[in-house]
Amino acid sequence: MSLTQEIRRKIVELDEPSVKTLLNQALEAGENPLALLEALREALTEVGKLYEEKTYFLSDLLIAGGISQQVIDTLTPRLAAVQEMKRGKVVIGTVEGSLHGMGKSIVVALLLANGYEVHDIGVNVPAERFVEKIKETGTPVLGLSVGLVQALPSVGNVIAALKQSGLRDKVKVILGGNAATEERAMELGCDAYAPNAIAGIRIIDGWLKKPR
Amino acid sequence: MYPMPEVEALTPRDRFLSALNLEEPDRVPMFELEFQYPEKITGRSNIVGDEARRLVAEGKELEVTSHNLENQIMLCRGLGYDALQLGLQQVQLVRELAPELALIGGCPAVTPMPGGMDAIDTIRRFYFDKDGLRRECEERTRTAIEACRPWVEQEVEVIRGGMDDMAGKEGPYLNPRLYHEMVFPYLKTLVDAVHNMGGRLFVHSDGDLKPILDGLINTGIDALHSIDPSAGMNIGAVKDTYGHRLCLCGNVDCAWTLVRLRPENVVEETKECIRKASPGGGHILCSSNVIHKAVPLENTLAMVETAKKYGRYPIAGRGV
Repeated sequence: MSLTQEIRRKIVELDEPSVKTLLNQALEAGENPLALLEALREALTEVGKLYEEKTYFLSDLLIAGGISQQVIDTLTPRLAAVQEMKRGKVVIGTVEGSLHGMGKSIVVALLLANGYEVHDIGVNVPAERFVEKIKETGTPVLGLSVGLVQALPSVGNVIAALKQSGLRDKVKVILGGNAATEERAMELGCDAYAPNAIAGIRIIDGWLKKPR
Repeated sequence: MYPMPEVEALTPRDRFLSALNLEEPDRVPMFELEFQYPEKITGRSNIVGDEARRLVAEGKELEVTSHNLENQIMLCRGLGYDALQLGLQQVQLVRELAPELALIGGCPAVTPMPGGMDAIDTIRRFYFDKDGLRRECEERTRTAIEACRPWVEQEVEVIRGGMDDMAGKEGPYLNPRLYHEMVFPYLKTLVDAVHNMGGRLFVHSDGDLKPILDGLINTGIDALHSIDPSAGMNIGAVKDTYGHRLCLCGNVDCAWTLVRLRPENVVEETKECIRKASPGGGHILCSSNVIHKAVPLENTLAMVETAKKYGRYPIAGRGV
């Protein structure tokens, strides 16, 4: 098994210490960073599959997300091509009144691993802040997370702020989180609902079609 | 003080105890972990926030405590709730003011759970710091056991605690193998200790617990709150499989039905909940979390009145 294949396997096994060691070995041995990045993507696809099969759970996704973040951080300085490979930009945050960011963190890590430029603006974010960030970055996708039913009106506030600033037609909005449902997402004026992080990435992939 | 409710066959305390003992009381008992607008029932608000801080600073802590406790008692009597959650220092006072009510104590969790702001760090500990986590869990378990002792000595009917939320809508926060390895053994130690003292313990958790339900119930907990329907938990299915082993507390949906639908929908869902979970006893009717401010009063009242009307034993029903 090549080092790249071994790294892929260790990512799927969520063996963070081994991934770190093997990644350094691979880079010292002159392995192609692009091939390592591809191995990461393949590994995350496998992790996503295990999650959908209910072999892996939320915590496993989060650990996989953390590993992928470390791999990307290590590879990025060695991979000038990474910037050109960006598949698109996404602004993401948890709406005002919703303080938990675990689900969002998983989505952020998976987006990064899948080649997106991610602007994570945190938790408990007021509607105007989302608008400011979209204006600043020219982002075509906005990911909103809502963890509490009581915070659902904040989703509507973001949609209203987008409309008011003339951005609504330029931005696709996807809603996830514990308090979100398909029905609520549509009722509140979002474009899509993500029942989980993997499904969310697929929807965004569909919106920002660009060959890998 | 708010007038005593209509005379029923059992006192609220006996009704609540009967359900905890998996027996059929006169009607299905009710309680809420939290009720965020008591003033709509009792006519007076709890003293909280700045006003409470000011009064405490003026040395009037007892006044604040008494006011809020009386309000809770008035709420229970006004709506027909059978139990209230309180602080240890308040037990004696409530026993004097409202001896008819069942009391719910509290104790801390035996393991950290990734439901809070430090969720990511907590999860990482379950994967990469197991020895450190075990040491912490052992200490937490000792603390929780000691926290339960005075509650049992004061003869409260049940203690809530031992665990925080274990799951979200997508399922358990942690891989189930981690619950079996790092969580349930500590919870079982706590449950066994509480039982040895002569007390009872119930656990609350939101979310889809199905993948870990067997392990959770095998710890010997006496009741489970709140069988979260918004996460796909079916109280009828849980009753069929585990109803002979523990009391179920739930589960009118406070994330959807109680918030967004009309009183007639609440009536139907409450009747359905009673049909599925109440027959044979061992069911305490509650919302699927708390009665929060977004729940219209008429929906809360519809739920309570339906329980009083259709929750009288014997109750026919069942079936998932």
